[in-house]
Amino acid sequence: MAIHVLSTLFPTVQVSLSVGTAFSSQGYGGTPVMTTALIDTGATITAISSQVNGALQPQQIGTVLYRRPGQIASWVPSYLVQLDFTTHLRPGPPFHLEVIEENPATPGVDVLLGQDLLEKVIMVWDGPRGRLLLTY
Amino acid sequence: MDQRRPEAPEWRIQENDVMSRKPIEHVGTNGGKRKRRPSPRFFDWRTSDPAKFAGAEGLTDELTTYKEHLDELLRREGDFVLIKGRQVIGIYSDREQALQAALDRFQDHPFLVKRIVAKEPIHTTGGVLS
Repeated sequence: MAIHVLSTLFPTVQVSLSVGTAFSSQGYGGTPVMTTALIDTGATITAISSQVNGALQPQQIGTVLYRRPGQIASWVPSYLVQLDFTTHLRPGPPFHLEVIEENPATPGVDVLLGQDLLEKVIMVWDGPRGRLLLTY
Repeated sequence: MDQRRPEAPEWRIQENDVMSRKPIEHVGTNGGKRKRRPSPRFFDWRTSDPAKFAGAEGLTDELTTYKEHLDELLRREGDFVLIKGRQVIGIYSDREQALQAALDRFQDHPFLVKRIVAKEPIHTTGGVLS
């Protein structure tokens, strides 16, 4: 079981993204990226910014229906990425996620962690201490 | 020690306690306008056409093929199907197997790997977008 204790002012976490060994071993994909992710409990799917998508060059594996807030739904490309939490007390296995491209509004944040990931972890938000405990 | 329960206060409707006949004022109804119906959270493959949504241009054939083979695919609901063009290549118990098969056959050319479902979720994000 991996345990992560994060000191943070708002629910962000440092993550490492790559295309995964299945793709990278065959020469696909770009450079792995370390960046900041925002825990977005209102998102049903994890999203990466266009900047990260451009650097990572993940393989498109399909398409999903996605509705931007206030807009009508449309098909958007979906990509496979491997996500690891980088700040941890004990390391854990990586997550393989089908993600979409979407740009978070928060400066410095390049990933929105959606319910597809959050449903796989136990998360305790310690507001008074400004800490987030993540186990999986 | 007296174990008897205290007597309940006696309630009587007094003359001045009659409820007001003033009409009820509804609050939080957006000035009396009807509430907007919430957007659907699923797309029903049995009754809807994937082409009714924009953005399918890149994988139109694959989505059409999925709909055309829906009944047979749903016998393995929850598994993953690999579709290329108008052909169902295979059904796999997990996504990694499907992706490996896709990579072996099509390298980085477009293909569709998707979970077999009757109702497609319509994804959203939390509104913190630029």
